[in-house]
Amino acid sequence: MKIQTSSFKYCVLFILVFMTYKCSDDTLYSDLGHGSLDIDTLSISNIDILNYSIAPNIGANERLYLGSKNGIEVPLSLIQISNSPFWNFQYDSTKIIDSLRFSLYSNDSLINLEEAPNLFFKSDSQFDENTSNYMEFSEFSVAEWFDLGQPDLRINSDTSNSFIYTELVWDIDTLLTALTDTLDSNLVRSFAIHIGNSDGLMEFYSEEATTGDKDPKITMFFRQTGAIDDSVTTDTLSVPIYSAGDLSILKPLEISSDSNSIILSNGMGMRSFLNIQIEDNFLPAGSVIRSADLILNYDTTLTNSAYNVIIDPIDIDTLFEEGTYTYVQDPYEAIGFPYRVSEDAENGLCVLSIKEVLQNISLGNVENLGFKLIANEKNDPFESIRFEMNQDMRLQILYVTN
Amino acid sequence: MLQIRLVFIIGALVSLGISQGRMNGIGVGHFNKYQGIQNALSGAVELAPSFQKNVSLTNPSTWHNLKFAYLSISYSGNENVIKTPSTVNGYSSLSNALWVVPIKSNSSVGLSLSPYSDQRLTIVGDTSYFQAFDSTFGYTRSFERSGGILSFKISSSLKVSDRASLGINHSILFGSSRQNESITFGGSSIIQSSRAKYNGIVNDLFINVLLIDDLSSYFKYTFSLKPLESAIEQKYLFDDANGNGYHDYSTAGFDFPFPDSVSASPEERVEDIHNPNGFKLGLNKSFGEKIALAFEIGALNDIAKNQDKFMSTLSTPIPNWIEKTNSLKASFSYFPENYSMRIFDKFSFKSGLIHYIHTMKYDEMDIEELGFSFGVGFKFKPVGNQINLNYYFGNRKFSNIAEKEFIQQIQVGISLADIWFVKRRQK
Repeated sequence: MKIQTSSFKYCVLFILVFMTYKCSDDTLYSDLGHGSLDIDTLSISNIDILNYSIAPNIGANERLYLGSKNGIEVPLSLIQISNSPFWNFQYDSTKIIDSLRFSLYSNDSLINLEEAPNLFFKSDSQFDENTSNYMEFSEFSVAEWFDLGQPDLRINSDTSNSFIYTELVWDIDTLLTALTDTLDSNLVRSFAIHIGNSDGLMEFYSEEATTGDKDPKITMFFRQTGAIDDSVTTDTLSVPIYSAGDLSILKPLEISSDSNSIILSNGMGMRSFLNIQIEDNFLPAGSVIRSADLILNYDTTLTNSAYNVIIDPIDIDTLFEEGTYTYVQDPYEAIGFPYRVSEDAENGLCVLSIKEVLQNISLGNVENLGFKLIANEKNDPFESIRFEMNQDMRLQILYVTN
Repeated sequence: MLQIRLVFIIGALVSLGISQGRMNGIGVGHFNKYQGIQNALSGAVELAPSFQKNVSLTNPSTWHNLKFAYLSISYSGNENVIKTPSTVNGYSSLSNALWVVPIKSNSSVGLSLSPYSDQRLTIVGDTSYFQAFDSTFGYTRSFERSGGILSFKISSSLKVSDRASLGINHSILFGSSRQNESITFGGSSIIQSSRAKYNGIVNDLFINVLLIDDLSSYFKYTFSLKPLESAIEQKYLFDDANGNGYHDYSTAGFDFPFPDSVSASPEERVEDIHNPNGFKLGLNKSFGEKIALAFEIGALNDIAKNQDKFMSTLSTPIPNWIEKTNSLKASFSYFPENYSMRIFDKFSFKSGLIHYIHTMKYDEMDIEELGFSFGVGFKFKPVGNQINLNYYFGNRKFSNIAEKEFIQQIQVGISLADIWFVKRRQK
């Protein structure tokens, strides 16, 4: 009986080892040419284009401009100062506002007083940073605005005397009452910078350029009185009040009507509609796209630096009005995320990956209503890119089918 | 202490389990009945007695000869080795669980659960090349398959006369497998995931006739009441950007297309993909109470009609099917002494020879397997509890592949006897 019990114990132990021992799982090798998956390619060069233009808006640009360049005139730039709670200091008995200074910043060390712009103020001039354009300001006249004159120029350098930035500062003490007028329900605190002579181009930092330090702003200097124990103290302090929106008004002097190439320009408002002629079942059912590249070639002599291009599929079927190529607002509404794709055009080639939207077109989730090509707002608005309409313009699809 | 160490050493020396071999990639997988022995307590042969004198646990027509109800469990580990390229595969799993109740020495019923086929396999093809848009891509194909089919058997026997008895197996087949077929290029794999569910019924009829004293004959006929059918669901192809093998949103890199933008194909049912039909004939010659020699021959055909349709719906790693299997088995058994108190008399020994020739359906390829098994058992307690250890090794030769597959199997089984369903007087 003793032997049987101990044998049983060893058997249980053996089974335990059996069950916990590491299994091995090596890969086998064999000819799998019979597999159901195949790789294939599709090249489409049947692409129609239609150039159109809209009144340009560069509200998201990191610069404010004045002047003209490459056939684009910038007569004014608009800045709207935010509705900060600091404006209520005017009605705080413990604070006395001493002065207000309006500041603009530039990376140009050669600005001189003669060509510096004038600052204008109008308390009820409205503009929208994202939509306003030159057509809304065709009647613009500085005569209706309060002229604050020219700025003081302050060149800022580091300890090694290297240039950092130029600060343009206007004394706007005279606007204290207007800017703090709580009775004005339509107070928007709009400023404009304008130069009479539009030769050349001036650049300033816009609110999109930095996180505050070089934004257009008003600095409020004030004294604050307080009581500590039985004595009265007075501190001299300052607070910045930043821009809530800014916009350069660009007016193209001449719009190209070349139909043999795709021209994109922010400053001109040039965009293009692409119709890639793909059939309903352009891919076998069940296929998955590995890559789908729209390949565009451009002349590097016209565009020398990297130029960012955006392609966005059209969301709503839009009836294009024959013969009309210029619009105030873009008539094509695009889908955006997740199908919007941006890519730098470099060295004469722009390769836009549109596999996400093409896959969903093949699945029937998205309708092929065409694409619009636009220039990224971060590009220099005075630069443009011209893609050639030739055999090299094509869509290359690499896919796997089962 | 030495014995405990020995147990661990033996355990560590063997790679264990139902291992993946090339046969796992054929059709609905590698049938368990062709992987070594089916039950450590039965040994190499299926029909002839090997558990006790006149009893085979794999032949229901002999179960009424049992004196007690038995619960028998076998656990096995297999290892498949290919020398070039060096490949070693091994897993372990339950190979058979059986519960048998004899009824008044005239009949019996039994229930058992065992694997029917194993589809676990990872197989990779050679690198191929293709040209696309002025670039040359290298790509590899692969299959990764898991799962298989289980068999739940309801069995019974009936003693017709002192010289003849009948038995029947009613095997309910069920199970599922998942498969990823991949094509890998450009840094990630494009995967076709699919799932196949299986069900079917396979039956065995057994006849056992005592020809003359000490010489018995056994016959088994296999057929299918409901040939195996499969319900196949194929998922949409996806680019496995994050490399985890699943179509999901996990970082880094989202799989393409997004899982919620696609849907699986409708489930497709393919009937009659496996329909075994054949016989097995065995002879057993006893030499006294303790020694027996047995021979078995068998032929099993798969007469299913829709294997083509199955393979066109679900691409299999190896595009072939076992159409016919001829088997030859021989065994030598030494049974323990029933009433001896000597330690040596409590041991039983079994050894056997197994030979299979599988003929494939779609080409001239044959698979030939020759194996040898050796087992030892120990009987304990008066009711005849047994613990058995069996080792099987063999070579599997594919007619179209130069390299042989070396197979090892180690199996441990225990059977516990008791008297069930006895009315006891209340105290």
